[in-house]
Amino acid sequence: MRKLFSLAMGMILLFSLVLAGCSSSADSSSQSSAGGKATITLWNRWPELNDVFKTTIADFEKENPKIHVKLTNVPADQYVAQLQAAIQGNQLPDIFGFNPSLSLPQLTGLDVIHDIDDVITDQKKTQFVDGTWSEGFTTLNGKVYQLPLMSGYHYTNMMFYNKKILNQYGIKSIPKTWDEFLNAGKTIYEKSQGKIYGLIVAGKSSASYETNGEIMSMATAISPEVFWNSGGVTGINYKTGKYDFDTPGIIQTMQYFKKLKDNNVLHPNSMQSDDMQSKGLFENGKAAFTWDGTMAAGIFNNDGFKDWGAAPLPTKDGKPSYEGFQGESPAGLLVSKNTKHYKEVKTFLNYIIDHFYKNLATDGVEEPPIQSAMEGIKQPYPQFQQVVDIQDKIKILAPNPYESNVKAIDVVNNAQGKQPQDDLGNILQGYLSGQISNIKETLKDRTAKFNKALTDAIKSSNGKVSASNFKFSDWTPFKPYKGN
Amino acid sequence: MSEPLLSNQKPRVKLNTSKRRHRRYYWAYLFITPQFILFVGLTIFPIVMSYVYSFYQWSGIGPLENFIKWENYKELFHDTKFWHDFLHSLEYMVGQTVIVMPLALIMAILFNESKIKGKTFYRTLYFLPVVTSTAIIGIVMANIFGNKDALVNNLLQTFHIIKHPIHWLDNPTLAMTVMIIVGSWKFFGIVMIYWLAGLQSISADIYEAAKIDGANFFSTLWYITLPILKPISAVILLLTVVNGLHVFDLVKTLTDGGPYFSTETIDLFIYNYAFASDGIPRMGYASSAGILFGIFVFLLSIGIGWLIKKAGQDEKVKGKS
Repeated sequence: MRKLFSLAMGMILLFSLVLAGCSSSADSSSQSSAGGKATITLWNRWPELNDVFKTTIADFEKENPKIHVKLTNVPADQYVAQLQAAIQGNQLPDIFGFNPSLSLPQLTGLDVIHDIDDVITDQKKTQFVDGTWSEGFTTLNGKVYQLPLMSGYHYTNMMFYNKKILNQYGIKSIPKTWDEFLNAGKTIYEKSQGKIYGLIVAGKSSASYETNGEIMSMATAISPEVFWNSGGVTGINYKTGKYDFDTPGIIQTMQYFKKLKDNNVLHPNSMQSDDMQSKGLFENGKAAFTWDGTMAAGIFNNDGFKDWGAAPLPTKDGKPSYEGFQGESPAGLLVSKNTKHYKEVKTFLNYIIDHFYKNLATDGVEEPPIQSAMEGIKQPYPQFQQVVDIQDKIKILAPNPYESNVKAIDVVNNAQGKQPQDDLGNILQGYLSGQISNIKETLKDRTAKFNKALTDAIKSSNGKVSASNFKFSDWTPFKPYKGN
Repeated sequence: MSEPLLSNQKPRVKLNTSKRRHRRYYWAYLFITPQFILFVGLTIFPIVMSYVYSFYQWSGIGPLENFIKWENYKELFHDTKFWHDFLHSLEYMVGQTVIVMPLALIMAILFNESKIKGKTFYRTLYFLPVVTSTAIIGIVMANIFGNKDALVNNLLQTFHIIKHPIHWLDNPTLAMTVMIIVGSWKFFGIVMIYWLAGLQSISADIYEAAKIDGANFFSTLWYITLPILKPISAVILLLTVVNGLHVFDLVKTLTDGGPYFSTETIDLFIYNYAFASDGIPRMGYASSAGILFGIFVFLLSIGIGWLIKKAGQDEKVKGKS
């Protein structure tokens, strides 16, 4: 019996150890070591920022030997799940990257984030580009919650070309119209005997947001009322206050993609490629052009691919296209309310403003949200300024429905939950694979479903939000909207 | 004197046996306890909570506040995408089962033959995909079945079987076919081992007797091997069916549900709703999809379980007659 008792105690002890191991006494937020050194934890979800964070943290720790910043790079596609678990388990890190799937009102409603008004003072606010401090994105009820890491213009779609291929096959000027682009692509395919294609894009389901953005961006040259914005409230015609996907612009852009495919201009692997695979094929000379976001420039540079140039996306008649900027911050940091080292967190955030932005520009990853951070820096690669100029020209300040009524965030979130999950990139996949024959009807159906979800969400807000919150009669597309 | 002694001894023996038996039970319970606690915490609790979540509109964070009764289920019944994905899961399961079950049996019969040399080597070779990560297989196969500069198309073109590359993963039917073939190849080894285990449980005496009676290979297979394997074949069917209905990592890495959701299965549907990285996660809705599909798998398993029982009973009846 004694033996049995000892064994039982042993088992219980072992099991408690296992459980203790699972639960981990040191949660993912602030820790203090015996030497009085404070450790603050940081979750980053943008792979292109890994190195910039690493450099900045190393310098920060040299200057602040009593603070250690523990950086964790979380894979982007697992980030939401990890945040969900961390919030549920009260294990949020001190600082973590924002994800639009978990909105500011949701996070403040749960009381899990700390405002950073004492970091972003009124004087500091003025240093940031126009429109940065925007309700529902970086601020809520007048309080600042998010520290932007990059310019709000981040992720502007543009065209990248392989200079060597263009020279080799006699393409003298960069195509501006769809016809010019089609002809250039056909020439390259024919002259290279099918070895090189005109265009590679990332069209795989997991990367469909890329083609979605390219379609909507090019479509603005035909139907400017519906713009694209990577992190904002996109797809709404702010003249009518309703979603609109069956615009002539979007339909014709979809049809143009099909034309590119049928004429062997679009690389056959396009619809199976994710963003890295498409970049790889472009860098390896399998396609003369690629359409991609701004961040591709930094990746080409890091990969050692030098012989490229950038230009705006071609449009039907060569007219300019644009993308909206609604004050959202596609990449930014939030601070956990439960941090035990808010003082150290503040020191680090101030260091980011003073040093991270400069490192960001020096490394050529992206344009920082403070223009002055660009001053006096050495161009990281020759095309950097070219890319920044295109980006600054394409992104135009657009209406933000949250500015007039912050409750509109809940309505948009509720509507998003009920709207179809597919985006225009998925629909393009279906159109090119022959599963969708009538693109106009498909887009019309999608528009109806999106509007129904929006109308239902407005109704369920019990009068707190109205359709007029999404209507901006004083807005003119292509002109920066100052009414926010 | 001896009689009372005997009468006293009997209950003591009983008491000792019962004590020993109880002590054995204690040991058994003791060893089961950690596993049982983990099972309740990590399996039963999440299943129960899935039922709870399915009645809420919930994004996966914060308290469960918005109780919406049967709304998620009602929406699910009208969600054509859910039913399409349901169908894709069934297509995959049927395809994999139809390919794997007979082919693995044939291979197992061959490897069960004592005449074949290097059996262990081949068995290991066929078992290798089983122990390889499915995600890695998906990524590698996506490259092998690519449209341009990919192994399969290059081979077919080299041998002049095709002139232009086949767009394997851009065509809904071909993409599903590739997925079934790759999934079958991955699962093949383990099913072959199941069959082998069944074959090796058949006594050699039976075959010897059949041989003396003049039975050839095929009549032995038809009249002896297959009938004896009937009960185990139902178990293998159950395992193959359940495996085929839960395909996630292969779809995620090989086709990502494309083109245009034509290979998206229920597991991916649930994942996309529960952990949407571009959009608001809908844990409640994803849970209701999981519950509905779980009930279907459960009913299907009961059906196959009944088959197993029936197959076992048939064999007993035959054995008696």
